[in-house]
Amino acid sequence: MLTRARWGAADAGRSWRAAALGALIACALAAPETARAALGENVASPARDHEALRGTLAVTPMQRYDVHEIVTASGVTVREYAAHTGPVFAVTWSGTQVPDLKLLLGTYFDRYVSLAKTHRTGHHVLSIESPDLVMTAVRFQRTATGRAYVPALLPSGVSRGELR
Amino acid sequence: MRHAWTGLLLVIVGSLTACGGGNSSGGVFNFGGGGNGGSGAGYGANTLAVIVDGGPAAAGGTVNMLFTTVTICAPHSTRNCQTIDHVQVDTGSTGFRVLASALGNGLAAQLPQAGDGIGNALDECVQFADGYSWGTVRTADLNIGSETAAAVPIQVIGDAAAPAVPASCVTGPQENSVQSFGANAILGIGNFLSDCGMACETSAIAGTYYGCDSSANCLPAAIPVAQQLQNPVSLFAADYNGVIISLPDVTAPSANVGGTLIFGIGTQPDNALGNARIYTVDSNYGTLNTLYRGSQFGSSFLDAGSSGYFFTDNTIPTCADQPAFYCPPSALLLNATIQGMNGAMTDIAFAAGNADVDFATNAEALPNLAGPTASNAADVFDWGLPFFYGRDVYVAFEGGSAAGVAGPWVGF
Repeated sequence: MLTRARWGAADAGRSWRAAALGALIACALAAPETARAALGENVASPARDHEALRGTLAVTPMQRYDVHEIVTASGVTVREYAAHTGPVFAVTWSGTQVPDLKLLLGTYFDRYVSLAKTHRTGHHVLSIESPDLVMTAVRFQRTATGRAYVPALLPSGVSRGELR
Repeated sequence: MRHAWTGLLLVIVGSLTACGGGNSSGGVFNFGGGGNGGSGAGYGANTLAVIVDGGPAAAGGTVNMLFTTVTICAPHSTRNCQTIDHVQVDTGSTGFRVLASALGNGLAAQLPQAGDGIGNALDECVQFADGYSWGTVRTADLNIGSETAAAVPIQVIGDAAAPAVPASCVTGPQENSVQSFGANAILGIGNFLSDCGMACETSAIAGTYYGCDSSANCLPAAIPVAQQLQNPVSLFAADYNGVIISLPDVTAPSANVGGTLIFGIGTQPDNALGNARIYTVDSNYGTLNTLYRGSQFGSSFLDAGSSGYFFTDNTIPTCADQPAFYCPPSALLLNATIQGMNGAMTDIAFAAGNADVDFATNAEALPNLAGPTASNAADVFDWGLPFFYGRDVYVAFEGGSAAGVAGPWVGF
């Protein structure tokens, strides 16, 4: 494959309205321990997800967060971005199949479903931009990529362009 | 080529409009020879009329969606058939899928349901970016213009014969109705010959094919490539190496824009490559490259199934009421370069308009519709249907060759 500069390139850093509703954060952090999904949950969830996805797990520590990378049995690369002492604030995926988004989006899955219903973009690209969830999903032929993050949970100093 | 067809096009479009508007309607009818849905007498045998209109009434209005008409028959039957209008023409997927509610009474039961090879019924989950659809896999003959794909596996979405949706299929909103799906059916004629390919033959993958036993327990199943959903055009007796979508130029929001879907590349006088250039696409993903404002978008694609140009440019404001689209104060004239995996490059001038203004026209063909990939997905540049206006876009299939170049590739 030629260059697949996933989630790379220019992030001009659109200013994020600080819609950081405290209630939202509290809600996200309070996700039940038994939940099997990642976004908004604590750092234990990538380990659970990697079991559920039957994949391999590698953790790369970065300055402001850890990247938990799972390669699933069907070859999809899933990355969960977790603050060192906080929740998973972003998930990305890339491969030929769609991973288990219910698992990866956790408590945000229902929000995604309700926001996705009103789109007018077609079956192959979906963009959601709301104060509590920003998400893109692309499904074209045998390409499946996407990422989702919770603006209020992004650690300070982390730009969207870092999430690949 | 376009000019030679223009007169004929008007006739076809006119007749399509005249008999359109209705639903796919009716039950099974007798289908005896002669012309069939969408293809007019005297029109090239390898061509089919297509139209950008408001979609099926139940969908509540679509924009920049391309439709045609297909006749579905029970295998080897010329009598047990039904003509389905508002079949979406999609180069971003492979396979024919029809909504059970559009299929009408009776015919579905005459399309044999496929099996998983170990005694279970075969069902399929298809996961798009915006939701999933679940239904049976059945065998049908598809009459598409004057050509036929015989005994092809198709998906009947929302088929009452399918068990409850398996949890592992649910990756978003359900799109099992004409309203949520936006079409009565979809004709997937992308670069690939099957929807999943070897991945689903060598492994059972959740979210794809399922074998469902008599107790309605469904488990992911590995299915040979030939038994997966097939690109119907690739099964034609002739003109099966690719397709061309030919749409007229659209310079302002317009209603009912008609065009032509041509089967085969370099196989007939009407489907020569001409001055078009070939851009090969990645054989695993179907993608190519785009260069825009100094950045490389490595997962780019031409897609008749997307309603606009979708790419990230943080300097363009999104619409306050619909952040999936751009709303610059006035239309922006932009440039980007499409680059095939073979290195072929061409600069493209295009416009990103104000989507609020465009949508307010209530027109169905919006040539400047554009939007972001919200999470700054800077590797994706989606050249949707606006790119197709005023062009002949070629889609050559994998596994063969067209105009002397092995597929998969796209050309324009």
